Amino acid sequence: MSSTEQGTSSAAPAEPTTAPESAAAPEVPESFYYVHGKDKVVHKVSAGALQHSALIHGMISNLGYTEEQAKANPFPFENIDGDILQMVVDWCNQHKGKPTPPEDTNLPKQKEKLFDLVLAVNYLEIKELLTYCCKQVAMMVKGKSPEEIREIWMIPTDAEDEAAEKEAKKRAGKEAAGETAAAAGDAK
Amino acid sequence: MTSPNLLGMPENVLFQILSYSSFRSIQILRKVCKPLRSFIDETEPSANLKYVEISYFDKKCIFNCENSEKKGIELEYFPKENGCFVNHIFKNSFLKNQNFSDIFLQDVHLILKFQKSILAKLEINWDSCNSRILENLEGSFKTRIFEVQFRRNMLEMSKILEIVDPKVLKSLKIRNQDSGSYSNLGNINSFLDKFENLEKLEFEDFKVSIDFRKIRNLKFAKIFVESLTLKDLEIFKEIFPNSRTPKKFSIRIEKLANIVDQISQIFGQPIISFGRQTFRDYSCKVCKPHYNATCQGITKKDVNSCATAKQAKVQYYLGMPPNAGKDRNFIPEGSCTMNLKCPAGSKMLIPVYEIGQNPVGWCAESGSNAGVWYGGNFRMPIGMGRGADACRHSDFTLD
Repeated sequence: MSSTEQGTSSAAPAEPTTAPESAAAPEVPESFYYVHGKDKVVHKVSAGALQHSALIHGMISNLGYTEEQAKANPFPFENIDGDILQMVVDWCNQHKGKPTPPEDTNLPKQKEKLFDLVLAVNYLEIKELLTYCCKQVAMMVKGKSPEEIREIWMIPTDAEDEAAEKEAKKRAGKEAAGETAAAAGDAK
Repeated sequence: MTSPNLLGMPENVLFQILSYSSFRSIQILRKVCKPLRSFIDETEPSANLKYVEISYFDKKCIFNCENSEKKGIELEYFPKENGCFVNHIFKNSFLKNQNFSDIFLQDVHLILKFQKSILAKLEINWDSCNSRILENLEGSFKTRIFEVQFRRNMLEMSKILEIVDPKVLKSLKIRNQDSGSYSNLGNINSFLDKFENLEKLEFEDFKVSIDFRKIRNLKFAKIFVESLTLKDLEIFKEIFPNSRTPKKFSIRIEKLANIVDQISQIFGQPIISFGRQTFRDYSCKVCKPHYNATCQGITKKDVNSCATAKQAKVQYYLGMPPNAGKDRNFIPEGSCTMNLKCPAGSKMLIPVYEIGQNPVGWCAESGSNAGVWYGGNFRMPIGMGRGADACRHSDFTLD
C-alpha cells in the first residue's frame, strides 16, 4: 500500500487523478482513503500520508479496499472534531514520506485546541505528532507556579475538590435519608 | 470541545508530557493537585539530574541540584526555636516542631526517588559531625565524580564515602577544608578495595598512608604521603614499566631523607632538576645552580629577555672543569664551577670574567663563603648578581 509518489497530488482536486494502469510504469499508483470526523466532512487522504497513523495504517492494510470501496466507506471518527481532524490530515499530508524535523512550531497555541489535538493524535497513534504535542504541553507548564497551572488547565485545588466531594456525599446522604424517610412514610 | 483539563489526558500521554518536563516542572506539577501528585509518585518520571551538591556547615544543610541544562533547585534547611526553616529562592517556610535534618532527609529521598540516571558529579561539603544524616543517605547516590570537602577524620570520611554506590564511581577527590593543614587521614587501603572502577584519586591537603599496589589500576592519582619506603619505590618500578593504565601519578612526599641515598640503587643515576633547569650529573651539594632559571630565551624585541641555560650551554662541575685556564688556580679546591657561552645577541652584563676564560664562575662548597657564587679574578672576586646570572639581551641595562 505504500506510495513513493512525489507528493504534489496531496493538494489535488477532489476528483481522483486517474493514474494510467500501465504495468510498465515503475510507480505504484497512489491509493486514497476517506476519513470524516464529528462534522461528517469527508477528507480524502493518500495512503502515504495516512501511514503516520498507526491506527489507520493498521485498518487499511487489513481491509484491502478498492478505490470504490474506500470512497463508499469513509472511516468515521465520531470522537474527533472536524477542525481537529483537518489539522491532523494537513499535518499528515505535509509530512508524507518525509523525515520529521526535531521540532514543529505550527502546533495550535490555544490550549483547548492543543488538548483536543493531543487526544485525537493519541487515538490515531501518530507517534511523531504526539511527541511534538507533549513537548508543547511541557513547554506550557514550564516556569509556571502550581496556582497558574491550576488556572490554565482548569484543575480544582485539593480543598475545592474535597469540598465538592463532601457536597456530593452530603447530597447523596440526604437523598438516601430522604428515600429512607419516604420509604418509612410509605410503610406507615 | 473537551475542557482542557490536564487530568483528562490518557496516562501514556501524561507520562510522555512529564518525560519532556524538567525536574523542577515535575515538582511543581506535583503540587498542583492530589491526583497529579499520586500519578507522579506512582510513575516516578526521571529527574535526570546531572549535578548535586550537599553542604552542611553552621548547622545549615544546603541541597543544590542541576540538570544538564544547568537548571535546578537550591534548598536551605536550618533549625530555629520550636522548629526549622526551609528556604528556597522564592519562598521561605517555617515548619513548626519539625527537626530540620528530618525534613532535609525527607526531601533528599524524595528527589532521589526520581533520579534514575547516574549523576555526573556529586559534591559534599561537610563541616560537621552529624553522622545521622550521612547514615541515612547510605548508598543513596550513583555518581561518576565524587568530590568531598571535610575536615575531620578517617571515620567521618568512610561515612561520607558510604553514601555513594562504589561500583559506578570513576573519580574521587577528597579535599581538606583547612587548606594547608595537611592533617593525616591514616590508612586508606580498605576503602580503595570497594571502588573497583575508580580511575582517578586525588587528595588535597590531606596526608594518607597507602599501599601503592592498590592504586595500580588507576589512571590518575594525586597523593600526599608522609614518607616513602624503598619497598614503595620498588612497587612503582614494577607498576609503571609493565602497565599501560597509569597515565599520571603525582606523589608528594613529606620526608624523603631516609631513602634519598638509596634511590639510585633502584632507579640508577638521577637527573636532578632545580626549577625549570635540569642538569645531568649535577654533583655540587652546597652550591645550587647559579644560572637564572626563569630565562625563556632571547627575543629580539624584548630587551629584558635572556638566554636559557641550554642556549648558553651552561655546565656545572664539582671541581675544576676540563681544560681549566691556568690562571684560575686561585679557585679553592673542591669548588663548584660553571662554564657557559653566551649565544649571539646576548652578553653577561658585568664582565666579571673575561669571556672564554675557563671556568666562568665558581662557588666554594665549604668554608665561610660556601654556597656563594663568584666571578672575576683572584684579586677582585665579584659577586655574580643580577648582571651576571644569565646571558641577557645585548641592549639590556641594569636600572
